Amino acid sequence: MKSRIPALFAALSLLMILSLGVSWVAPSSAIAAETAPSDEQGPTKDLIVLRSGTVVEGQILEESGGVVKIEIVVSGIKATTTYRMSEILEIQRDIPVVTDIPGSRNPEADDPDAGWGDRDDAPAADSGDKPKVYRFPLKGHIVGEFRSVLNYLLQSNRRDIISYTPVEKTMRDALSYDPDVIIVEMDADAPSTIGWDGGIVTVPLLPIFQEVIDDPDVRLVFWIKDANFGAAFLPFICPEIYFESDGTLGGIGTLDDFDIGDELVNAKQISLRIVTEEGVAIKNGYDPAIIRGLARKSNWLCYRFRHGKVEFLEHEPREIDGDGWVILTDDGKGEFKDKMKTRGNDVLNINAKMAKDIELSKGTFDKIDDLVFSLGIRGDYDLIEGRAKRNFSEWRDRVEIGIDRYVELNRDIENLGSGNRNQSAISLLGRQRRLLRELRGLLTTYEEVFDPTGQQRAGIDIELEKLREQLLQASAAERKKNQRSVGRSKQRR
Amino acid sequence: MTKIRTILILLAVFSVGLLTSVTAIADSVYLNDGRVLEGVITREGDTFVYITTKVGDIEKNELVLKTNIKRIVRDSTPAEDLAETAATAADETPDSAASIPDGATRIAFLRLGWGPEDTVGPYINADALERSVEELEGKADVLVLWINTGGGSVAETIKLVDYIEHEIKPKFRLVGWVRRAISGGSFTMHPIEEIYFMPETSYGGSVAFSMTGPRKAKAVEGAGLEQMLDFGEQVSSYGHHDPLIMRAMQIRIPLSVDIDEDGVAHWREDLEGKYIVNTDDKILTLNSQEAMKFGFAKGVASTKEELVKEMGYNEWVEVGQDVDAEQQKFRDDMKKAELEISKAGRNFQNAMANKNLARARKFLGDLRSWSRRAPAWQDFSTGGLPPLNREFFRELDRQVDALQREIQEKERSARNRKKKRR
Repeated sequence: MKSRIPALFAALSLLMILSLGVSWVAPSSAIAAETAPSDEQGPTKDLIVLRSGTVVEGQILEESGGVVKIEIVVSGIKATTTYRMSEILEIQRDIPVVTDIPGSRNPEADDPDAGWGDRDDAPAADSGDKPKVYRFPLKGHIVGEFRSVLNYLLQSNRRDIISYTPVEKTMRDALSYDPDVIIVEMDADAPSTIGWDGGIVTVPLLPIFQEVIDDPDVRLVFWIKDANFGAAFLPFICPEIYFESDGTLGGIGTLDDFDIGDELVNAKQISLRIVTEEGVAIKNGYDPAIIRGLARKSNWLCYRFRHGKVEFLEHEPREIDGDGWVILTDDGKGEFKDKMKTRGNDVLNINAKMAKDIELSKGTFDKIDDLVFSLGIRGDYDLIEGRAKRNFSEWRDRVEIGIDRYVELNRDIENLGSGNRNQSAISLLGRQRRLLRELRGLLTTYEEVFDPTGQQRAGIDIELEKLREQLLQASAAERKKNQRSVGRSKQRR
Repeated sequence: MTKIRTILILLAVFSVGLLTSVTAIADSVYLNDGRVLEGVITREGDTFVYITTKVGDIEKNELVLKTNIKRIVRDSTPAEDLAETAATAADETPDSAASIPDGATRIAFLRLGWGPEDTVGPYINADALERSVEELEGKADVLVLWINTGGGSVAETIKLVDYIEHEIKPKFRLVGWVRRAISGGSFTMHPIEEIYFMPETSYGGSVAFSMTGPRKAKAVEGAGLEQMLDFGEQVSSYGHHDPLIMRAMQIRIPLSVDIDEDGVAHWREDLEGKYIVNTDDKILTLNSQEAMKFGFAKGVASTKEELVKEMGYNEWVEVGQDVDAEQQKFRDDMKKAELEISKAGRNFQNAMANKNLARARKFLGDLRSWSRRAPAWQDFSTGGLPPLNREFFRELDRQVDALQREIQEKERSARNRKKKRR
């Protein structure tokens, strides 16, 4: 199995690093002082061996909640990066630091592209094959499980639909190439009318991405151009997010408007919604304060850097909080109310710079080559587009045809009421039944878009049962009528 | 020549042997539903395996979720032995004494709900839990209740808490492992002292309410609220949790905490503590970071292995997978029943409205059948129907009998009219 090879390679890499004395950490007396448990032992370092084969050196700061935080030094600058336990093959602590061989190269220090938080992936087992990168376009309007989705589609005229079928097909296509990396290029939104609960449209898509994210053999990253309204939740399931320079994520903040008729129940529902999303963020190494900032217009979110770490403040900065705070969003009250709704920070929209500063994004790239380079793929690679675009366009064409047919069928059913008076009841009822059956079939075929809750089909089933009864009665009446007229004509003879 | 021939023959035999052994060696995936897939596992993740199986010359690549897998036997065993293993699989249980190493702690994981739609009541209830616990008695040292629910029936929550406190805790080391425990789910977990979170856990939001109309809710108030608050205190005492935590999950109170030098948390109903946990305009729901910071959770674990490590066990074996599979099957059956009951109920009403006695009887029979197959629906309403209990069926029988009499009377009248005309 492929996963065994990186483990062997990682072990070999480890040996090589130790024996040659090549250090990934710039010699630093500060680090040595911090980590040396005693003068006799000398400086030490911790190692994290990833399933991908990468070996990361530094000082482990924290290991809890399923993640490991490690402080590394890049070009003399300390930085903290986080790895999930599921990404890690092995942790080694307090490894003695071997003195550098004079003249040995420190790749991290010399590499201008090694960024804060970058993960320099060593190439996989040296088989001579080029790394494979699959480009997964997630562009359009995510629709799914919410009420009256079909009416919404009819009214909104949005046809650039993203739903389960094309996403699942594209992921299967991606995996068929056995890629090293899948880059999900996200330029998507969701219906704006359902606010925070718009996240529900992404629910059917989550397992598709989660399964691949959990697969140690494939690296999946999100590259954000746009992730708005309910679509903004989707990237949080991935521990690697990158932005384009004009990328934005947000536009959700409407939980303040949630109202189910009772203040206490409102407070409960708001609380559980926010914390559910906080959980996703925490699982993937993001600070839950970001979710709280996104959730409510009335929430504050400020940040600053201290000792190489980002700190958050969730209220208006006071004197005792110190200085250096950057306000991402305020409560929009009084003097803080935005003068222009379309510009301002009452509702949190995260841009590329903010995303990088608050450790939501690992980097900003406008070209895919640059992104791939930052992922540690330094030489040639195969960029695969596969059937992705075709999957989405074919699905959208089919849905368009389905919508047209849906409108036609409903019109035909309505028009049954008017027309030829001489048409028999049986004929009319039969036609209505045929139309309803076809309508039901259409709803089943496009279930994920037209009728995800099954309610419309349930209603049609009831109508069909009623029609069945009516047809039986009409048939019985017709038979009686025929018997009477046969009887009368016999009498006349 | 003879030597070369001998070598060639030996090579041929060896090759055949290799081929035989290659084709005979296979991975076996034993599913919860009893099926066995034999083939080659080509890819494996934390939650799934891909196995390539062959029927004749046709290869099929199948994805199987690990939640559906009982166990996996990998390619170290030749097919002949696998055949024997498969034949005895029905008799062999993972927790048979022969398979448990000496000194290993036997740990059972029981999933209570596996999605927010698995509500307390029909899907998570004391009866189903009791059936599972009875099967695990004597077979497990530690019972982990692994919960994932958005809450549900208050009445059922009370039964669950009672059962957990008085029947489970005396028999096992009981551990709560929370994926999602909202409302009734948090009450269900709260009597457990040893609670672990997953990184994505949400716990709390325990306001009791009822729906008074479409998108119209009403929180419990007055005497009802007092009872709920008392229940919250009682449950907190069972689990040795500060009662203010559950209180802040039920009503809007300020809550803060100080952690002393021994790491003990001291909770207070104001904002004067070192850490502000909740303000008086919010209802408390805890995430995993907060739960650890304030000492509510004993640890955070994403996997069973991590959890067991947090619990402090080195030698352990998982037992009771079949019991957990039964719980999952119970929930699947309940879901299927829910859909079918809803359909049968509507069809029965239609048939009665159309005075079709035969159809009405048929759908009434369907309802009876589903209530037997999924007896939890005898206690909880679904599909717009009340609970499918004796009273319910007595009423429906009465209606059907009344319809039958009406039809018979009509037929009698029609026959009499015919006679008179003649």
